[in-house]
Amino acid sequence: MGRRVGERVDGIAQAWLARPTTGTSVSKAELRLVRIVALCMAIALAILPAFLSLLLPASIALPAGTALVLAASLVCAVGGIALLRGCAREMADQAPAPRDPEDELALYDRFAGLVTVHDRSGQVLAVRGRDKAQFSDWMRPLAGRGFVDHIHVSDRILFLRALDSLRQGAGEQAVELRFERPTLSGEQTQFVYLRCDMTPHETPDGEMAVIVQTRDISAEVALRQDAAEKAAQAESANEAKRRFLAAVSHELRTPLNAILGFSDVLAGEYFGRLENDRQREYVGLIHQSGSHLLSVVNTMLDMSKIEAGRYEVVADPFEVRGVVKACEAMLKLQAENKGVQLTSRIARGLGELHADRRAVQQILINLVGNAIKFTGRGGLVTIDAETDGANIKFVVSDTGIGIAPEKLALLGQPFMQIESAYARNYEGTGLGLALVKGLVALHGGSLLVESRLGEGTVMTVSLPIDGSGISSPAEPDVALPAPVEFPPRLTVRVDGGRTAAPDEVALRQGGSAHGPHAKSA
Amino acid sequence: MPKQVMIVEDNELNMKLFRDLIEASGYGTIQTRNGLEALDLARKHKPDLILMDIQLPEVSGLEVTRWLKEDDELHKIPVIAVTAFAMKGDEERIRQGGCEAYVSKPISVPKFLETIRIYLGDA
Repeated sequence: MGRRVGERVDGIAQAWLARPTTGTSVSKAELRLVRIVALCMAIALAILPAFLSLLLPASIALPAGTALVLAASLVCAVGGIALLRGCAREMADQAPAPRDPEDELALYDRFAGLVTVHDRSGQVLAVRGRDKAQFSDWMRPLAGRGFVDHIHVSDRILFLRALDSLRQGAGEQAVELRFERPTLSGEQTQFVYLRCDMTPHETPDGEMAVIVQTRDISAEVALRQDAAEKAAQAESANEAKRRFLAAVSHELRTPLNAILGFSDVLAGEYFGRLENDRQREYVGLIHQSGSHLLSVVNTMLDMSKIEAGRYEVVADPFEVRGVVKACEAMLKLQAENKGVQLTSRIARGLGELHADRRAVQQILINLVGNAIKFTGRGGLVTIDAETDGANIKFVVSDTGIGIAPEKLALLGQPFMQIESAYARNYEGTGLGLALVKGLVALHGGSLLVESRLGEGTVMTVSLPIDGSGISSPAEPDVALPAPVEFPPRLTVRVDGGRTAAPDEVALRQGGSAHGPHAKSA
Repeated sequence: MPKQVMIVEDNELNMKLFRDLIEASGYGTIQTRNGLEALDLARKHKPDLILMDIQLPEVSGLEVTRWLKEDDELHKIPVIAVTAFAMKGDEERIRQGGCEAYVSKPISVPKFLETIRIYLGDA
């Protein structure tokens, strides 16, 4: 019953309503609105005049109520339809414009580089892009197979693979490809590096297409190659430096054996007495200088190992007292000769330290040696060892010349002795503190330098007691087998008419596969 | 007949130093600069002690030591490694290689002579 009334209302309304311009859905909403208004009018028409007749005389109430309801219904219907149409227009404005394929392609002309539309197999359907002229003059014919045919053969697979993953449903692909570009003469080709950003796309008729934006990245590739080359050069320069230091150190040690050995023989007077004290003194000086040279060589070797990340920390627990005492004993004579008093104070109950004993010894010897070197006659050098939380703290203090605040930052750089720029009053390479820094860092410890010019210097080294901060070598020395023939020699030997590289020689000497039979083969 | 010490050393000056010191101590010497030759000389002369440089041309001293130690006759001869590889861990490696003792270069003359006397049983 209601339905029939509704249809009737629709019939009347459709005759009255002006045809909307867009679609039929809005018209449906309008009809629904008209139906609701008609329903409300029917109910109000029954109630309102009756209600009014309670307040007013029936002769006035009935026509007035009917007129009121009719007027209100009319206003509601017209206002509602106007509102609905307003909304519909707004929605129509927001919806995408109807797509025209030609307009869309024209849009691509605003994008940098070359923009090509490809079909599923990679054939070019359309050529666009702001800079398409740069490509079309050599990538001929660009339409059809031209694009793919110009990709360098070994890179073509990359493009096809990317295309394939797009067909499989991948969202986007980017490939860097070499294209073959004919030279001006046309006889030869040269490579051009191009980057292709590939985006899948569905054509209005439901076909799959791929939009490829291609840009010339030759300059970028050149930069990249340049950077890689520079990095490789730096790496090889570093390697050469390491090899050089190692080889030089080793080559210096061998003659030092003769210098120290023969001077030792003379000083020991194994083959008869020396004639006078001056001769004995000179022999002693030769030996002393040789020993100094040896320590420089050793330090250099250690430094090069630390820098190359090849310094192997062999950590074991050991008594701190022993190391401090050994260092004191070793440098006592040197201190006495300079008129410097050397003392050590070891905290009661100071236990074991888990660290590389040789490294700790070297740290102390270098710090104490420095302290003695930069302290004048009558001065005092003290070694303190104590526990400080989870660390063991070694404090080497002197009453020497001190270091100016602005020079503190320079400390510990190889070959940098603070005073060396204008007056070399003190021998040394400046390697000592660099080595200390390196060794302390290998143990995860810290080095603190406090100093006041003219009053003295306090060097504090803290090392974790349990060895927890020890770092392992960056790259384990797998290349050189068991008896490490390190450092390699500078000399290059010729083996069967072939010049062997130094590291090959080192490997061969260290290798275990060369028995006497292998040799004779 | 004095006890014989074979010196395997490729550096001329070091060879001279060792030879002079050993001969001055009253021992005889057999000298070679070559590891391969060392094996033949050891078989021929049966020295009482061998001083072995580790870095030698062609074959390493450790290699020669291993052959010596694998030889039924020669394995009894003590081998003292004399080497400039004074780095950490070198001593263990050299001892593991079969050398009885290890002296690092540069040598300390008194210690060097003492070590030789000990291994010749004259200390």
